[in-house]
Parts: sequence; C-alpha cells; structure tokens
Amino acid sequence: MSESPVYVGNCPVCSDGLCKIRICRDQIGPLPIALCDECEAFWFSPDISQPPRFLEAETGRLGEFACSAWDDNAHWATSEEVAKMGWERALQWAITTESLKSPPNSSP
Amino acid sequence: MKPSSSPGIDPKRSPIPAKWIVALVAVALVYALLQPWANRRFGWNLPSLGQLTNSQPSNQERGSAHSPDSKSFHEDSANKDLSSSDFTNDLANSSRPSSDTERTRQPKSDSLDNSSNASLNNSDELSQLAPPTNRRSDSLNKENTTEKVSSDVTAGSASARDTKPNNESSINSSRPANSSGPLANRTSQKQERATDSPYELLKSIGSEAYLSQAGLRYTRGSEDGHRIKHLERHRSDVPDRPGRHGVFKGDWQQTLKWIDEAYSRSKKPDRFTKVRQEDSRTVIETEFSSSIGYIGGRDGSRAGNPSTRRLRLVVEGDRFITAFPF
Repeated sequence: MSESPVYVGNCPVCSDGLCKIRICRDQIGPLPIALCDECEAFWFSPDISQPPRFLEAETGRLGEFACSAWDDNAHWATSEEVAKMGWERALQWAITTESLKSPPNSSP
Repeated sequence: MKPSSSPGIDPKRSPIPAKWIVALVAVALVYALLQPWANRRFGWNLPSLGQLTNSQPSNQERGSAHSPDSKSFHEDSANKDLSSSDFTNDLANSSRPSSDTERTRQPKSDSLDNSSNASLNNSDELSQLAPPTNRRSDSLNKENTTEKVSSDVTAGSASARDTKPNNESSINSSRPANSSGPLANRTSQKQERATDSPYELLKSIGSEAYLSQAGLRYTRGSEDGHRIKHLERHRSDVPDRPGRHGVFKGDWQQTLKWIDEAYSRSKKPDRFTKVRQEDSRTVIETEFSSSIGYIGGRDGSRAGNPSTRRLRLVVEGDRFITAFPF
C-alpha cells in the first residue's frame, strides 16, 4: 500500500496513526473525512481537535451514512483534491509541522 | 576291530564329552522354559531358542530393513515418541513438533533480528498459502498451538517484568526428543514456515474471524481487508512514512503473544498498563520487561530506530483494531 502524504496530523487517539484525507462517496456525492490509518478515528472536517467518531470495525461504514471508507469508490485524496475541498489550510499546517520536525538538510 | 569302525559316537574321539552335551541340553531346556517367563516378569527381550538358532539370518534381515536408510529409523522413532495412533501421528507431525521447534528458535530472535525480519517478509507467501477462508479445517492444529501460547502467556503474567525469561524456559522445556536427522530437519523447516502463520496460531471461529487464546478476535476490517493483514504492516518498517511507525521484532507467535498479554493486562489492575476509553474504542498501553520492537518511519529513522518495550493496543470490545510498539 502506498503511503499518502496528504494528512492533517497525528491521530489524537492512538498518536502514531496519520489522519489522512479519505474521500468516500455515498448516494449524494463525495464525502471527505479525515481518517486515522491506524485506529480508524474519523472527522468530517480537518479539525482533528474535535471529538472523533470511529468507523464501524468490520465494514468501515461511516456511522449513519450509507457508505464505507473501504468501498471501491473511496480513495485517499490527492493534494489537488484537498485544495478543491478547501481543506488546504489544514494540510498546509501538517506539512509545515512535518518540515519543522525535519532537520534542515534531511527534508524530503 | 578298531573302535573307529563301529557306528555311533566314540567317547574317546568325540571333541565334546558326553556329559557336557547333556549339560548343554539341560541348560537349553531350562532357558527354553524360563525365557518367556523372564520376558514377562522383567520386561526383557530375550530371544527364544528358535530365534537363537536362526539369529544370523534374522539380524541380516533387520539390518537390510533399517540401517541403510535412516529415514525409516527417524520416522519410527518419531511415531513412537509422538503417539500411538496414525491419526494422532498425522496431527502431531503437522503441528506440535513444528510449534515446539519454532519456540526453540525464538530465544535467538534477539540476536538475529535481521534473519527473523527476512523470514517475516515471507509472511505474504504464508498468508497466500493459508488464506483466511480455507483455515477451518486446520482448527485442530491451531488449538494445539494456541493452548501452548496461553500457558506461556500465563506464566509471563505471573510476573510482568519477567515475561521473556519465563517464556524462554517454558519454550525450551517443550523441545521434542527426536529433532535430529535429515528428514527431521527437512520436516521441521516446512512446519516452521507453516506454523508461523497467524492463521495457524489463532483459532478460526468462522466468517474469517480468528480468536486468540486471551479472547481477542481478529476479524475483517481496515483498509487491508483483515485486521491480521493490517497487523502485518507493523512487522516491517515503512521508512518513508511520515511520523513514527512501530515495528514488532520476532515472529508472529511472539507478536500475538505480546498483544494477548497487553489485552489480558487491561482486564485487571496493572501498574505497567494504562487503559483509556475513546468512544467505542479502548486504547491500551503497556510496557514489557524487554524490547518488543523498534520505532520506524521517518521519525524513527531520524532517531536511529530506537528499540522500545512499550506496546499500544486499540480494541473495540474484544475485537482487535490495531497494535504496534511505540
């Protein structure tokens, strides 16, 4: 599985998980969420300081929504998609935080 | 007339005196009478007179049947050691010896991290050999193995700080007697590969769900399709992953044992364990007496991939969600 660079921070629940942007899709249309790739905590906005919800453990279903994060038509967002959603500020914050943690000469 | 011309035995010219012949016959009679009784009474295996008189051909037969081919000798001894019935022999040959062999390999894992990681990279191959849907027929083997895992974990939980030494001693004590010979080596290598599959170590409970000895369920779920597949991601480093990525050392059996231990500790007060409830998820953090893995990912790489004794386990009720060293 390729690692998506588009994430908004480390998961406040399990710490080591990355809260990446996942675009799910129900009958109405795209449904973007910030989703921890470890404990599956998710948020309907990039503000992961809010209390999380969790995917249904076996199906990956998003609570009352008629879609799963693991449906075939769901995918990890690209930076362009994140920009289109208007979530780029959160993404920018994550990138900045990551670069601050990196030594000057080892930035990816 | 010379005595030599008369028929019969001439006592003067016979090489054995008649009284010795009588004595030998008497001894033979006494032996023939006492041999069955002595075998029954003392458990000896004295040959009968008939066997003694035909001893030369009999030995040759035995030699031709066994000595040139050590395989049959090992097979015979293995069968004797393991069990009496053919069915049980099949079970034992396919599961128990291999799990024991695997255990005896474990203590080396600290010093052989590289080699164990190399074998862990084959876990994809293992899971292809053992897909979740085809594992129900193997449940007997799994039960045998997981019983042993449980006893190890129980021994470990008696003293949380002494988990590893206890496990190692119990591992060594269960080594089978017949673990030598070319056939035994070949067989144990095959069985090691088969037994370190998590699908073999856990008990299948249907619907692609697996139960650990501590009662933790590994079910479908996660982006990888199954929790076991997700856990597999924490058995090798992802150096490009932003942040930290905990990596277990050792084999699957050890990983599952640590996770079971963490889950068991969360059920009762434990000074080395923190339990936090986050909505439907429970986050369990515990610390072991020795290293369980290292910190990988970009952050781990920057820090020189430090080893760690701490494990974080996320569950939902009795359902495993994720676990990793942190």
